[in-house]
Amino acid sequence: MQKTDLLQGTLDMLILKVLRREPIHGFGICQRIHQLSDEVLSVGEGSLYPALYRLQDQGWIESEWGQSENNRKAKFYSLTKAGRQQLEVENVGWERMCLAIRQVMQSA
Amino acid sequence: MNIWRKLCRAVRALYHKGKLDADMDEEMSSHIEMRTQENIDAGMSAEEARYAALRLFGGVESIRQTCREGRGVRWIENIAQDLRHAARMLGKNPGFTALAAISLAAGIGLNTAVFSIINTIFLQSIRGVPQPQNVVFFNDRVKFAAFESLRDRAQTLRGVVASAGDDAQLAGPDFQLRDRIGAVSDNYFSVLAIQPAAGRLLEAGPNGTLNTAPEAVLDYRFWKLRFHGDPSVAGRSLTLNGIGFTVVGVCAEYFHGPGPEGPPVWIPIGALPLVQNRSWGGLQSEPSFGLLGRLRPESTLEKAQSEVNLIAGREPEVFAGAVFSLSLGREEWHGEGSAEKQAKLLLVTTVPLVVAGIVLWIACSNVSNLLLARAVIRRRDLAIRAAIGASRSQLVRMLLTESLLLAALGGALGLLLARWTIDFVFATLASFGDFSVQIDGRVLAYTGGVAVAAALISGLAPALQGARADVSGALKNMPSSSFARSRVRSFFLVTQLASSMALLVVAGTFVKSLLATQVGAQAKIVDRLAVAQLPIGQLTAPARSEFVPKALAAVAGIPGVEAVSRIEQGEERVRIRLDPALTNSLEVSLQRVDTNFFHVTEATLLRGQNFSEKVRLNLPSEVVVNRAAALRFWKTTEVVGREFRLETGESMLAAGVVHDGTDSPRIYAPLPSAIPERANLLIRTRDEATRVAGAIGTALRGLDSRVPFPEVASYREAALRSLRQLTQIAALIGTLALGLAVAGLYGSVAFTTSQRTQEIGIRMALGADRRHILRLVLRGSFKLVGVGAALGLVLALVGLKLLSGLLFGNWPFDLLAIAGVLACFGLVALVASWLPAWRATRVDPMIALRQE
Repeated sequence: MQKTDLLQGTLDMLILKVLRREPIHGFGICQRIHQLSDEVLSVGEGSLYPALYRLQDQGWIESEWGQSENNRKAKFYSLTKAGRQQLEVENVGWERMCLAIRQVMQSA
Repeated sequence: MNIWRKLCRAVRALYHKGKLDADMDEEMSSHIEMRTQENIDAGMSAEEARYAALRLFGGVESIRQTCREGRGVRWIENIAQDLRHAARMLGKNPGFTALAAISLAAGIGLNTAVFSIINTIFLQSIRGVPQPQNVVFFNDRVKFAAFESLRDRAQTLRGVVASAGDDAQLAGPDFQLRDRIGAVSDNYFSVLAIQPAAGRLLEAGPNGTLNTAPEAVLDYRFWKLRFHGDPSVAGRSLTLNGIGFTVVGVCAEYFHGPGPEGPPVWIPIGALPLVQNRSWGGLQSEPSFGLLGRLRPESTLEKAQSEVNLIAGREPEVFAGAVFSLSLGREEWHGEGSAEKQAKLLLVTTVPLVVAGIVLWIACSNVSNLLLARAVIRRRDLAIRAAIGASRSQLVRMLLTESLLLAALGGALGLLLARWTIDFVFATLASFGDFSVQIDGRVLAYTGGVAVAAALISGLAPALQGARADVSGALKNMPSSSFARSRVRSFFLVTQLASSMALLVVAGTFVKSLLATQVGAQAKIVDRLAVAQLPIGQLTAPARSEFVPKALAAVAGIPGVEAVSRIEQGEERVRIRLDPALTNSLEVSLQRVDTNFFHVTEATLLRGQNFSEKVRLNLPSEVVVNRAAALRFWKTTEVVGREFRLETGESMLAAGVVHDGTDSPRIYAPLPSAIPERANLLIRTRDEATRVAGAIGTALRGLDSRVPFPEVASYREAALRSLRQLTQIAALIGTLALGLAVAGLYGSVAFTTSQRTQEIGIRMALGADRRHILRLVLRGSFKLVGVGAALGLVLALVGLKLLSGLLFGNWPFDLLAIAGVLACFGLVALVASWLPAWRATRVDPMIALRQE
C-alpha cells in the first residue's frame, strides 16, 4: 500500500465530495477516501479533524451525533447548501488546475 | 464569512468551551475505537490493535489544539487568561491597587463630572419631554404679543409655548427661600405633553382666556424636598413675594424645563405681574419670553423657520425686528450664533475640560510611577516568564491588561465620584439652583474613553519597560539601578509637578482677577467701598421711594462716609445690537446705577456726560458706556450720541464714556423707576470700609421698623461672597491636583529610597552621618521639584497668556499668587520627601548590608 501525500488544499475538496452522497462520520471519511482512491490516498487524522472543524466553521458542513453501522456513537457530518455550492466552485477550480498541469507536463 | 457570524460563533464556542472540548474528545475516541475494531477484524490482538490505532492517529493533544484554534476564539481565550492573571495580580497587592485606582478615579471622576455638566448644558436637547425630536428651539426672546401672534398663526407648529423666569421670595409652611420661578404660557405643559405627578398642571383660563389665577405647579424635587412628597399637595398654598398662590399639582419627575436649571415653581404668565407687583405698562417693562415649539409631524424645520419669519415680518413693531433661527436641540450649541459666541462657548467648554485633562494627566503619572516601581519588584517574575518563552509582545499585553483593569476599576469608582461631586457642588452652591445633571449613555461612553486613555497613558511606559526584562541580570538577583535613574519616572514626576504648579498658579490668578473684574471700579479704592442691602420688600411702592432717599441721606451723613449711590444688585448679561439690520448681537454686562455712581467709584468721565435721570418717554434711554465697551464695539471712544438696541427691544443712547478700570465691556444704565424689594447702596468711605460698616448698619436700622436687618459688608466681602462658589471649585481642583502630585512625589521618593537601602547602608558603614544621608535623599527630590516648579511657571505663563483677554478681561501675572503657590509647593515637597529621607537615616548598616 503506497501512500501519497495529498496536494495542498485538496483535502477540503475531497471531504466535501465524499459527504455529497450521504452523512458520514470522521472515520468513515478516512475509509471512503482510502477506498475511492484505490487505496492510494490516505488521510491522516491529524489533518482530517482540523479540516472538519474548519469546514464546519466556514458553514459548509454540519455535524450531528448518531449511531454508526456497528452501533457505536459517532458524529456524522453532512453537506450544507453553502457546502454544495463550494464543492461546485472547488470542482471547477480543480478541473482547470488539472488541465493546466497536464498541458505543462505534455508540452515538452 | 461575515464578522457578525464569526463573533456569534466565537461567543458560542467560548460559552460552551467545556462541552465542545468533551464533544471533540468523544469524537476522537470513537474514531480510535473504530480503527481498533478494524485492526482486530484484520487479525490483530486487542492490545496491538489499540496501539496501532493510537499510533496512526498521532499526537492527540496537538490535534486538539489545532482544532480548537479552528474555532476562532483563541484571542478571546487569551484576553480572558490575561484578565484572570491581571485580577490575580491586583488582588495580591490590595494597597497598591487601592492607591492606583483611587488616583485614577480622581482623574476620571473629575473628567466625567465636567463632561456631564457640559453634556447637560450644551449637548442635550430638552429633557423629560415626550418625543423630544420634534421640539423646536427659538434663538430669540420676544414680547408677549409676539408670542401670541406666533402661537395663533404658525401652521407648521403644533404649538408654541413661552416661558420667562424671575427671582422671587418663596415661602411655605416651613421654608423661606429666594429662587428663580418660572412663568409659563397656559399651553406650556399640554404642548410639551408633560404629565402631572400629582394634581393637575396649568391650563388656560375660562373660555380660553389668559389664565391669571394665582396657581402654582411644583417641580418634582421641590415637592419632595419642601412638601415631603405630600400626595394631596393640590390645594395647599405658598406665597411668592408675599402673594398667596394655590398649588394645583406637581410636574412629572423628569421634567425641569428647557434649561439645565429648573425652577422650583411654575406659575401662569398671567399671574407674573402679581408676583412682580406691577402691571406691565409698556414694552419696556414687560419681560421677554423664551419660546419653544412643537413641529407638526408632516412639517419640517425649514418650513417652520420660513413661516415663523414670515409672521414676524408682517408685524415688525410687535416682533421688534426679530429674525428667528430655529433649531432642533439646544440653541446655544446648534444655533449659528456669532463668531464671538462660538468662541466663547468653545472656551467655556474647553477650559474646564483642559483643566480636568491636566488633573487626569497628574493622576496617570502617579499610577505610571507606581507601576514602574512595581515592575522593578516584579523583575524576577517577568524575567522568568521571558526565560520560559513569553514573547515581548505577550509580556506587554499582560502588563497592559493589568493597567486596563486598574483603569476600569478607577473608571467605575470615578463615576461614583463624579456623581458625588456633582451632587456636592450643587448641594453646597445653592445659587446654581436645581441643576439636574444626569449621567447618560453619552457620559458613560466618554468615561469609558477616558478610562482607556488613562490605562494607555499610565500603563504603556511601565509595560514597555517591564517587558524589556534583563533576564540574566534579574535571575542572578543583581540589584536594579534602572528605576532610580529611570528617565521615564523623572519625566512623569516633573510633568506632574509642573502641571499641578501651573494649575495652582492659574487658579490663583483666576480667582484674583475675577475678583478684580467683579469689583469693576478702580481697584485702588476697593477697600474703601461698602455695600448695604436694604430688604424693603414689606414696603409699598410709594413708601419705598420715600424710604430710599432717606436711607441715602442717612448714610451720607455718617462721619467717614465720602459718597453714596444706589445700584441694582448684580449685573445683567445682555445682548445688544449695534445695527437693527444685523442679526448678530454682542454680549455685554449691564449695570443699573444712579447718577452718583461714577462719583462713588471715582470713575473718570472720558467723553460726553453723565446720563440724566429724567424719564425720556419714547426716546432712547441715556446710558454711559465704559471705555472697554466703546473700544470693543465701535473701535473708538468717540461714541457719544450713538444709538443701539438691547435684544429685548429697549433702545439706548450713549451719553458718555467712562474709564472704570475694567477691561470687560460694560454699560451703565439709569435705575428703573420702580424700586425693587431689595435696594442696594454702594458707599465710599474715607478709610477702610470695614471700619464704618457697623456705623452704617446702625444708621440704617433706625430708619423704619418695617425694614429688617440691612446687610452691610465691605465690597470685597460682598464680591467674594458671590464668587465663593467659583473660588471653592478652583481651590478644590487645585488641591486635588496638588494632593495627587504630592502623593506621587512621596511614593516615588519612598520607593527610590527603599531601593537604595543597600547603598545607604554602605555609605553609613563608610562613615556617612545622618545629615549626609538626609541631604543625599533630599537633593534628589528637590532637583525634581525645582525643575517641575520652573516648568510649571512656564506652563502657567503660557496658559495665562492664552486665557488672557478671552475670559474675564486681563489676567495679570500675579507675583503674590505665584509666591504663595511656590511657598506652598516647597513646603509640601519638603514634607513628602523628608519622611522617606528620615526613614533612610534610620537604616542600620549591618541589616542593610545583609539584606540581599
